[in-house]
Amino acid sequence: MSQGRLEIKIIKDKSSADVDIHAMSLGAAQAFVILFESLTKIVELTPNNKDVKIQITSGSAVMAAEGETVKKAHEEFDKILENNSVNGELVEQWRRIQKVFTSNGLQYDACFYDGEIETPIYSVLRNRPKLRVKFNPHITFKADLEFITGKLIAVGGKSPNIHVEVDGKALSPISCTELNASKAKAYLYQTIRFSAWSKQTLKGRQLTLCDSYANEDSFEEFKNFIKELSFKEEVEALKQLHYQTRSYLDYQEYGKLRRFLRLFTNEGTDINILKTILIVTQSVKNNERIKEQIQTLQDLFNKRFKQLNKKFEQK
Amino acid sequence: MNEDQLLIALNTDEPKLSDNTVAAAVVVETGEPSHAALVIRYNGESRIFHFFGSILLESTKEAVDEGRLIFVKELNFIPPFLISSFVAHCELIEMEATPKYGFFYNPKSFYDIHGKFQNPGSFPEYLTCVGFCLTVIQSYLVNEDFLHYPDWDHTSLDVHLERTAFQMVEIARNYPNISQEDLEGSVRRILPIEYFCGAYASIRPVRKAFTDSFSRELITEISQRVA
Repeated sequence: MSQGRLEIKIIKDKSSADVDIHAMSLGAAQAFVILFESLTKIVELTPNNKDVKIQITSGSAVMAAEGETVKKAHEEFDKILENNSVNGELVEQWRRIQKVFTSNGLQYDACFYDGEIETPIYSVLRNRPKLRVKFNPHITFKADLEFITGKLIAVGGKSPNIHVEVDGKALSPISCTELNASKAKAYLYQTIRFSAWSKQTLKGRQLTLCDSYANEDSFEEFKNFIKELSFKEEVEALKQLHYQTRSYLDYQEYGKLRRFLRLFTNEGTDINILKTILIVTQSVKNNERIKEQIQTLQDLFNKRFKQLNKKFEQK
Repeated sequence: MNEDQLLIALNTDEPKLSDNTVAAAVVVETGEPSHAALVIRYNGESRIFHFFGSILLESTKEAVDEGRLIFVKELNFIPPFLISSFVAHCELIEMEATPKYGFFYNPKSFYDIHGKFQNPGSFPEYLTCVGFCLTVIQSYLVNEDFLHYPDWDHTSLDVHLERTAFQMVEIARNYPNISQEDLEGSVRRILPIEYFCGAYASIRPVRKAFTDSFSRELITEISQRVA
């Protein structure tokens, strides 16, 4: 089998002098660092990469990744050029390379090799618009809210939780607050309806109690609403959320609104959901009946915003 | 995007914009930055959102093909991870709001006169293209102000005085609960270039002193690009 190779060279400096790895200008070194880091990441992001060797050749600034698997990286690269890759992290690395090639005035070259066959990629990258991830319609919430009807069979524990049986089968314990646990005691061995946030962890699916419903109508209404949302594209789902919140406001059903909002009062809630709720409720945020709930959502939003913005600014 | 580049022209520099971005925009006609807009890029597709007698949310392709010169500046306080809620916000406004042209802009106008719930899309009746963009941004921000609005008072209004006076009478008749004081307090004119300048400020709410000094630099740059 022939070897695959991805080679990137910095040929000339801004002053058109040949680049020598033993004495690089600051500009060449900066380009070198980014290119080398991205080359390494590309290898890292290509599966079964154990055979790949990464090299830097002394003399001129040549870096390369060599090995059977590099051919896979080449195939992925072709996919990116066809706007057909959904691998955001990989596209990001190629974009960084593209940015270096187009912006800082040095001369470069880059090629893929399959044995003797050479595929130049430098001009391709230089001349095309910014590389892109294939648009992947994103569904707002997968299944991170669950609506469950079952028999309450135990309550308690040092870290409080409730145990529920559905069709004779016990679910894994559902964590809750102490207050919820003591309230739940009154319903022991009865059928209860409740919502829970679910989170995939290493230990499997973990449930946290959100709310319980004495009223079957509210339970069904919320359940159907969340189910409907999960089939919608993100922007459509947010608009639906806006209209649903607004309908509670229009009929001044503040009690129901409070319970509806409780569904989203969770650390894991998407920041765009929080924002949409804060926008639609902004003119009633001081209403005594929902004030606290809105403030909690605002705090959650602020916290998420800080985290995400920090990540974004580091990029 | 190249940080050193002061002006990003939509027709030539679009590929430099991030796939998901919200930007303030000015449309330049006969050398003048005469119209304000928002440019929204969502998953690599650009749309322009503006008020031109009616609310338009349309692909930028047509405007660019017609050779219209549009400069954009990203609003860094609406980062890419918030794009979907911003797009939803704009699409809701497009569906719900019906403003008329005029020089009244009260940044808190999405509260109705009784302080009762009002959809952020239901605007006060009279707006300019700038007032429209500001209301969209302001109602999205919820808890903070983009511009320091009191810096622009009725003295900033220097055109259409008669028409404005007529509209004031009309508003006073239709909304008897609005005091004369409040009404006068919402007469202002913020120029498209001042609004555009706001996107360059690192401190919010943006003061008029900043837009006054920085707009000169931008106008010079724009006239060089147009020439």
